[in-house]
Amino acid sequence: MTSGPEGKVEERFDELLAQLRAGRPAPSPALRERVAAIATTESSPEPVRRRTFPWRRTLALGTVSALAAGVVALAVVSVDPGSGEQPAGEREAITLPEANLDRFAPRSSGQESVTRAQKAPSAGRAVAPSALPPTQKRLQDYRADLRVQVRRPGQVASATSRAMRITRSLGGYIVSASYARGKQGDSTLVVRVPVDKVQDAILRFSQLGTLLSQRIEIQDLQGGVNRQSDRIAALRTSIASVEAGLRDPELTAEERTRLTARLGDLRPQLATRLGARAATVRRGRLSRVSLTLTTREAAAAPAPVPPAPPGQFEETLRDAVSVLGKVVGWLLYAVIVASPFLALVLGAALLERWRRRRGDLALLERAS
Amino acid sequence: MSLSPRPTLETGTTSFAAAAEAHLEDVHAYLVYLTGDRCLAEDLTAAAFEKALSLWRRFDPRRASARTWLCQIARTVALDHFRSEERRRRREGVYAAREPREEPEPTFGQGLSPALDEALGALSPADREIIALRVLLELDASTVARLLGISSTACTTRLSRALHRLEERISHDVRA
Repeated sequence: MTSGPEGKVEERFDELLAQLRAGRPAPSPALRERVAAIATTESSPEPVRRRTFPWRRTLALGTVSALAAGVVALAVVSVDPGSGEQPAGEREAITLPEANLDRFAPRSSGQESVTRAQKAPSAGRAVAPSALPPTQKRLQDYRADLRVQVRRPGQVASATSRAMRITRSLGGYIVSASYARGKQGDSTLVVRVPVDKVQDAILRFSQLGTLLSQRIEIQDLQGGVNRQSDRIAALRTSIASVEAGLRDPELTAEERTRLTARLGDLRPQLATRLGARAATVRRGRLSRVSLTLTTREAAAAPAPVPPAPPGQFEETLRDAVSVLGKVVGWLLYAVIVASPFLALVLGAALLERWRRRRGDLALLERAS
Repeated sequence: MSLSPRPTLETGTTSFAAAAEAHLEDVHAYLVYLTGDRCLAEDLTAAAFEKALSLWRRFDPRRASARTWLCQIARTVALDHFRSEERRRRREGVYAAREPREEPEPTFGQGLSPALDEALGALSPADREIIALRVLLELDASTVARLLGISSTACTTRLSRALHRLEERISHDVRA
């Protein structure tokens, strides 16, 4: 039994409905035969059972999955790459093997460099010392900046003295030193130590107190030295050629004068090139270490430490998010541009549907 | 009597012959009510089944029952017929001079009283259509609404109004 409007209709017209059902028209035998003939004489293939793809469910699932993936990717990318993996205080020392260093190190250009830094951690937390080892086969400009915290201002002076002794013991020398004692003690030491001893120096400097931060820069010098050597060889060849020409007895006075002048140009050039190469080689043999000893905590560290370069996974994620963002942007743009037209098409379709239904109804009304 | 849907042998895999045999009476009754002409209804019933046969491959029992699908086709066939008739009448200029049909037996069923039969004939095809679908074929409101392209509420309202008009016609005829 139905309830609501239908129930009322049913109660109201109960007798009428019964009459209508009782007097239901039946098809004539001729029509039955006609329809049976239609149904049997012609081959009636089975309805094709189309495999319906649950596209609505799939679309919903896909959208949710894509959104979830996007959120996760954004969360991963937005995490600070330098501190996201583990707490700063619990960070372990990372020692890059030689092969890894070579991967990042420039092959020939002197303009390229590799920088490695550990950020200053939160106050009172230490950074474990780890130094990129210099490559023995190539000349490199190796620079390290260390910031070491000592407990009391009175310890700054003794630590500075120990750092100087360490430098000298490793065969290096002090480039500059500054020491100030007040409420907070600070000391800055710039030293040069042989490249093959720099790892040892960094390790020993970091043991003077608590290592707060360290930054290492390596710049390849070998390419520049090679170019200088090539130029020097060319100059030497030219000078030898000019000297051989001057030894020729049949040389005219005019030619002799010209060759002499040429030799006068070439020799200073050679001397300059040799000096430059010697300086570059010296730079490559001695590393530069800047050591700051302080009683201040890491938050007060004056030197800004650049973030660590992102890993390959993070770069891939960043690229994917960037591409995804562009695609979404273009899709949004397309939707915004196309939406008025889509709305018009939809409206026209709805209007046509409404008009057709009204037309059908009107037709049925007129057909009476 | 109830307006709740009648149980049918729907869905599942069925041949066209079986579907035609099972639903011939329904389709025929629907077309009789829709056209108000038994001869025409028989012709349209045959035409509807011919069309249904040609479209049988596209029938999907998951979307609608065979009976609903056949009624939809019958409706399309009937509307096409009405349109062509309207064009023909307009073209021939006999629209106003339409002669009343004289039929010796009741149009809408053997068991109906003459008053009810006449009252049904006086209703519009749209009114008769809703009565046929909801009362004779006992389709539920949502199915009929989908078939006619209207809402379920509109379907119920239309049925109520059609039955009101039918009742008024009957009482008017009795008084006359």
